[in-house]
Amino acid sequence: MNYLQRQFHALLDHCLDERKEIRSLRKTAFDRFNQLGFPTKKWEEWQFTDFSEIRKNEYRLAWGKDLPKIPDKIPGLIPDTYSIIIINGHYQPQLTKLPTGVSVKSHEDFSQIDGDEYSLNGNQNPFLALNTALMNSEISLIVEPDSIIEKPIQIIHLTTALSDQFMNHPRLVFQIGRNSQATLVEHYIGETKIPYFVNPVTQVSIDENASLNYIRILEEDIFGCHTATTNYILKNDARLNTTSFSSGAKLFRHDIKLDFAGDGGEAVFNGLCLTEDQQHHDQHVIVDHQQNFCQSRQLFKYILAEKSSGVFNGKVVVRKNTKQTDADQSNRNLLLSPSALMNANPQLEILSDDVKCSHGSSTGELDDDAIFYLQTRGIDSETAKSLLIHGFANEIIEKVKPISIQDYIHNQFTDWLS
Amino acid sequence: MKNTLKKENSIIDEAISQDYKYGFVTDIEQETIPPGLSEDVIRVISAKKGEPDWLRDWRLKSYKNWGKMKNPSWAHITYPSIDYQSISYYSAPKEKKELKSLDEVDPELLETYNKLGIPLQEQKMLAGVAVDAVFDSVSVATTFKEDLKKHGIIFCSFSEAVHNHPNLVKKYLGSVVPMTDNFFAALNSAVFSDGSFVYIPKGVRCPMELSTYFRINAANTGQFERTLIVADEGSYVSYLEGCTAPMRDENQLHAAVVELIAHKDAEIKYSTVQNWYPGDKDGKGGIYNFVTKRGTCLEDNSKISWTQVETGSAITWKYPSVILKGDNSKGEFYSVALTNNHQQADTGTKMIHLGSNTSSTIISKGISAGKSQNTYRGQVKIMKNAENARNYSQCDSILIGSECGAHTFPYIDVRNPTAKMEHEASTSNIGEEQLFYCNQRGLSTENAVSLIVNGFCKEVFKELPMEFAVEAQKLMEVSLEGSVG
Amino acid sequence: MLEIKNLCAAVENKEILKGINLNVKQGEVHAIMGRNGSGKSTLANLIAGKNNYSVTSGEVYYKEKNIAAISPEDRALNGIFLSFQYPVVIPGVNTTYFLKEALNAKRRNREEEEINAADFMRLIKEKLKEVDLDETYLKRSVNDGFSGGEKKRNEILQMLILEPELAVLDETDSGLDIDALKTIAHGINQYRREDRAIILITHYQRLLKYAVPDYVHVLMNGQIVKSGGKELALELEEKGYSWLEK
Repeated sequence: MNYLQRQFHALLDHCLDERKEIRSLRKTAFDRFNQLGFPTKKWEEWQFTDFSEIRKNEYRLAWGKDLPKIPDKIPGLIPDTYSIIIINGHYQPQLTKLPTGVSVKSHEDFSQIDGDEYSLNGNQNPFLALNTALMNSEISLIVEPDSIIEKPIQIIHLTTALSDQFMNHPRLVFQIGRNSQATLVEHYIGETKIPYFVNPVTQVSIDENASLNYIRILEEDIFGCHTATTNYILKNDARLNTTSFSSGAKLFRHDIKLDFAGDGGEAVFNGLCLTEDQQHHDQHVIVDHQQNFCQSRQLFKYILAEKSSGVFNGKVVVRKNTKQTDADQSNRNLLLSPSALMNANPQLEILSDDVKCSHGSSTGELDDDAIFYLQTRGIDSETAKSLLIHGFANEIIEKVKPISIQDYIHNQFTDWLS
Repeated sequence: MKNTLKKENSIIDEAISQDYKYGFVTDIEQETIPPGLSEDVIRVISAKKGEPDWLRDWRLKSYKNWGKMKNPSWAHITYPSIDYQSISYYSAPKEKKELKSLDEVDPELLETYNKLGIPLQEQKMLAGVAVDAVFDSVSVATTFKEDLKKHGIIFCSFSEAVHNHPNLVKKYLGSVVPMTDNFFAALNSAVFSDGSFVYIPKGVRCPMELSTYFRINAANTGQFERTLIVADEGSYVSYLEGCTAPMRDENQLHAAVVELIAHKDAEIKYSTVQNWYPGDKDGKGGIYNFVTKRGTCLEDNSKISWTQVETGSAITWKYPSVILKGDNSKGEFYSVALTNNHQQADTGTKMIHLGSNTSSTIISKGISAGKSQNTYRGQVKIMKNAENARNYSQCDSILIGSECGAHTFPYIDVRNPTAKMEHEASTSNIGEEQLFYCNQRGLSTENAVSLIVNGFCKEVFKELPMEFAVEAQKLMEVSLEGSVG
Repeated sequence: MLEIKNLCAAVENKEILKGINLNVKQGEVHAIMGRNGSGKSTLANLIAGKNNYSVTSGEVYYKEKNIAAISPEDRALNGIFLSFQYPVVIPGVNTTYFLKEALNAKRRNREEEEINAADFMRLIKEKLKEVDLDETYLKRSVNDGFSGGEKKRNEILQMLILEPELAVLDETDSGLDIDALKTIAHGINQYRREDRAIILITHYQRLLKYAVPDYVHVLMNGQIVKSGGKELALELEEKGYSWLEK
């Protein structure tokens, strides 16, 4: 019996009072996970990432006693935001600040379990199945229709003060009501020297004519492994603008899927991955254009230092008989060391004729000519390099809104660089 | 990226009414040998041209090799298999004596050129373009020779070069495209009839654009011309090639070989506007264009640039390539390929990086209309010792209507980690919606299409010499006439 | 200016419009509201002359002339402008060039002199400010790489430059954040004049707060089921559409 099985049974024993629908869902999901197993190099969509660390390490689920003393100052908290704080998997309602028009639910009984958000739907992602089997901290955030939420809502997942190897499977559901506008920040921070594993699943639905600005910040500790699944559903005229900034975690894998479920949807993905040491970041994105008049833009950038490695696999699917699809996908990678490695595979799968699709990919080192140029203007080579790296990252950072979050990301980037 | 279209579309029909403008037959007595290919035929060709033994033997060796090879089948094109025994491999106007001036050329022949829009006389005066007109297979009139001679530039027909500059020909022939390179190159090496030869000596910048018009005239004759351009150290040449062929029901074969050699610090710019007869609107007739074009940047700091506008031929199979051997050498490929009706084009380039700091640029624009199929096939290879190699590739496709197809196959093979690769691709269409949008802003459909197509091609057109760019733009309009609305 | 008489139209044998009557005079702003699929876009496209509909009966008169046989470009040249619900991407065609061509086509039609490049740049830069687009936009291809909001503002920009007499705005307000919505409304109010008419087609009420119509019509199943003043929009916001269903 492996550690996951032991943890699963312990969880079932612990939550004897859970509704039977949830218990049966957990069991189905765990069976699915056991069928699939951890991904291996033979799985085409997973081939460049080694998950043996997660398979071999014995992590245990978070229990009530894991809640440490709450820090006076929550790390990562961005000024001028509403906030939701989760520490070692435990939601802290007393620290929650939310505006009117927004409600949050967090409970052990998963009241909306019958919704699509929990359906496995034949999904072949083992980490989604594992999360569904073991999900232990759920947050549902609902923005009411016709609400314009001016300030961002920041959701912090803090892993801190661990005594032994620990894992967490957060489940997040975000629903943005019709005609509403909001900014959400999903923020993972680790401050511990003990290996841990975080495996969140985030389900986002944006209703008709609503707009979500969504920022994901990954600052897990270097001892942490983070596997994430994010699914988006956009209704008619819905807009999504995402930025993901990832600098932490030893191993990071993110599966992103976006479905246009109505006409006229618009999605923008901006991503910046920073890796060093032996970090490995792997992002897989599928954007499915199954409705008319939708547009999507992707710009994923990686900056890889030392012996770190990155994977980008993006796919744009344009379904048959769809009209006026406008899709663009771009992946740009900067290698700062000869030992850094990048695997990029941008793909288009176009089955309709009424499209405007483009994609591009580039991987390269810093431009020697540009460094030389700056040197001839009296700038030393280290500063010149830093300027160029800054320029490369800025294309992503300067698009982040509001400015408070842009500043935060910019500071984190500058720290990383120095 | 793959895109095939089937959807019905109400506005855009495949209906194409534009006739081939250059479809006339010149009634000149031709000297043609009977169809068929054998060692004897090759000996006859070689003898008729009065070739030295080494060249005859080279041809025979190529023929033997060809016999062992198979017609390639990997391209995204379909056509009935070609009966190589039913083609006549030699055709020349009977007029055979040396021509001293244009006055001596058959007036009917000159008339042909006028219909083609290449008035030799006028061009000599106005455009400053030296024209080596190839009528079917034998070069009949070369102008500007004297001017070029002053600079030590050799610009003559291939046959002449064989007689007058045998050492140069012997040194470079087959050095870039070996006779065993591929099926069509081997065939050409065995039976090539004539073509052009250019040599630019050290340090010379060729003072004018060199230009050749190829034209296939006789029915059932394949055209197998051979072009060899050598740019010696520090020299520069810009070479223009234009092609037309008359309208015939049968399909005609064109299998040419072009070899370019750029020495240290030399630059060769090779531009083509190809509008061989594409066949009628039902796909009957038209040229099969199987061409091997390749250049070698043999030494450091050399540059070879291919620009092509392909609007003709029933089938185009063509990959102008550059081997980047010298350090810091550059290869470029700019292409517009337009297919309409039942045309098929499988075209692109190969950039083989061998030297350090080599860079290549690929810009390919494919336009498919009617029921045509348009494929970009490119290969960028960065070999192990090519430090700091760079490539930028951009492949864009436009689909006009819903019954055509565009396909993109960019192969990238990187064996040195310092390589910097950039690839961009886009596919878009001109459909009912785009046209209605333009109409709603007060623009006519015709105006809208020309706006869109010229906008799409501008990055390539700007690489063409001025007078060619204008011609190319007109050609696009003619080729697309009737494809929309 | 525009008179629609008992207009019935179908797409692929499916009846979409079932007898529309509408009379729009100079200086008036009419809002046409309705749910998705009620026939709003069909009506807009028919006014502009899109020809994949079959008009089964009825007539459309523009400036007292039946325009059934008039091509979309001639309607445009004579002052009809359609702001598209989903503006079309035209790759490779520079926005400035496109707009200049469109404006000059209109000028040629009126036998006026074509606008020169310098004057045109001055005009377009002035109008860009009205719709809050920056000048980098002028270098891009038509709608290529534009966000949804930029595409909609581009439509309004074109309207301000081409100065049509009848503007039909098809859901120009959908897919917009609140700030962009205000910009669009500002553009519409700039355009509004005594000798011009506007038809605002929408299924959200938000726009009508900022661009206030004179008349509101509710389109349902291909028919105008109710007409009224601007207060009808408020009523719809409160009650939704279901109370109008038969």
